[in-house]
Amino acid sequence: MTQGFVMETRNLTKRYGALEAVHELNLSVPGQQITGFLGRNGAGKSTTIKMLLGVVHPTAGTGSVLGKRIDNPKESLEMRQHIAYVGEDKQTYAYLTVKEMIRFMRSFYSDWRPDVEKRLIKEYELPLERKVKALSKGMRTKLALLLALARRPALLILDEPSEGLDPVSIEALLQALAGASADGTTVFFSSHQIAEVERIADRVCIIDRGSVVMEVSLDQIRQDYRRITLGFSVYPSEADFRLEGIEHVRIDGRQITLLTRRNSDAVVERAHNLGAVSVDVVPTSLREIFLATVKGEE
Amino acid sequence: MLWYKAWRESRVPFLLIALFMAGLCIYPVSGQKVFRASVPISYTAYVYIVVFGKLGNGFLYFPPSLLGMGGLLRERGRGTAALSLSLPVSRLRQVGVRAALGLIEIAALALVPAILILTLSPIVGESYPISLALHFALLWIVCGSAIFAMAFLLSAVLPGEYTALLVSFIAIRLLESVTNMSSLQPFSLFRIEGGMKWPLPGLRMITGLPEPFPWATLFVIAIVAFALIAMATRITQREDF
Repeated sequence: MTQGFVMETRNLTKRYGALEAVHELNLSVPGQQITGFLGRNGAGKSTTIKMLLGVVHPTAGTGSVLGKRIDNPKESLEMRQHIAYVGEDKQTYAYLTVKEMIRFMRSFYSDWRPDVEKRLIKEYELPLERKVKALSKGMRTKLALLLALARRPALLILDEPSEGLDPVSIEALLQALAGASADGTTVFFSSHQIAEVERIADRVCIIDRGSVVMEVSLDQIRQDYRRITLGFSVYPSEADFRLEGIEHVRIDGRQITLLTRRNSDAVVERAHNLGAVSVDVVPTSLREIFLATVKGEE
Repeated sequence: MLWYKAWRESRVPFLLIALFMAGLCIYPVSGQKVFRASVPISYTAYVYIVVFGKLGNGFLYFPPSLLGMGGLLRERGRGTAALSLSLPVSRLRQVGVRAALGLIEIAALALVPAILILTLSPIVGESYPISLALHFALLWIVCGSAIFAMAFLLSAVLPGEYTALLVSFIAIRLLESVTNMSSLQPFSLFRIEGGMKWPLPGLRMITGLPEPFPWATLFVIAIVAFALIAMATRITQREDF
């Protein structure tokens, strides 16, 4: 494991017959931060997470989590001692009651915190004697979150955690994740809800068609990324803006919109040299970056 | 707690089967005087006909197949496989616990008739040898384990809630038909489980006393059962969930 990274993959690939769900994925997730794993539906987020957990075997490539190789069953087992996971559909065993489910999970982990368990049962208003199969989707999600948050894992992995939750519960979830991070847990969560990622993540990885297309910190986005809109009296050429630091170019008639990672001063200077009649430089948002990155890959 | 999970998954079919089997033992034994009045045979022969013979065939068909179902493939369909596999427990242990509990349940069910016959016989004014009851119980355990292992393997290979169960029933029927052919009769699980020389004589000739214990055959059956469970484990270790 490279210093500071709790999860790393190198050319991680998963093929199901002719379908390549994950393609040579290179991912580096730093410790003690919240990393949002952003991608469209079917981008390969869940498959990647399942490979990291040892649920799905990679077709090619390597990966490590907490310094343990994901393709080595013994190391994967050791690694899972220190990981809490909330799956995509938040299913737990339907035939158990909430109380039994909590007792079941508690038995596997030495880092279980009974005080947090009690607090979350109260906070989430979980009916202890009710069978899991009789819970609503929102309640099931809350139970899954309790099972993960009642521990003090080194790494918390969540796959679309806010799916099926009402706005109040989403707010509580985001606060809980921020709290876990403040306690020293590394949080890695997948989502296609940009606003959620933007609210709590320190860092974001964007995945599209099975490959990581961008890894960036939210601070870097705020400080360095700019949207530059240029107006021209003649039709501009994309070739004029092949400069370092430009992530995406869109041309609408005589207007050109650029997304820059750095070097925005040089872009503005080039625009003036080319006779731009209007120049507008504004900070950009994660949403714009995501859309530009994902659409740009099409 | 893995044992507890495996138990909770199988306890409903297990208890229902146990109750059903108990009923099928209690009813003919409690009414044995009436039933035996029409055919004058010994109590031992009667017990063989109504319990260890008749019930035995049904025992191989249903309990092992029902108890062999489940596992991570079914959990994948229900959306809980990732949760189970994210636990700090190896796949080998997950499969092993389920297989071990299934075999224990098969053994417990195989002992139900033996225990009930030994308990009920003095109550109805008869006696039945312990050695004979245990003889049949052991035959049921080994033969039942082989069918359980086959169902266990099928549930590790075939996805779908009921596919493996259906295929298991079909496979048992096929097995019964194929081994019914004269040259294959020595390999018939149904006949080995019955413990008698085949073909059976007429009702009046049946003694209810089995053939000597087929240790070598049972050993081979146990090895096959173990191999099938090992195969299911290997498949589960390689499978994506």
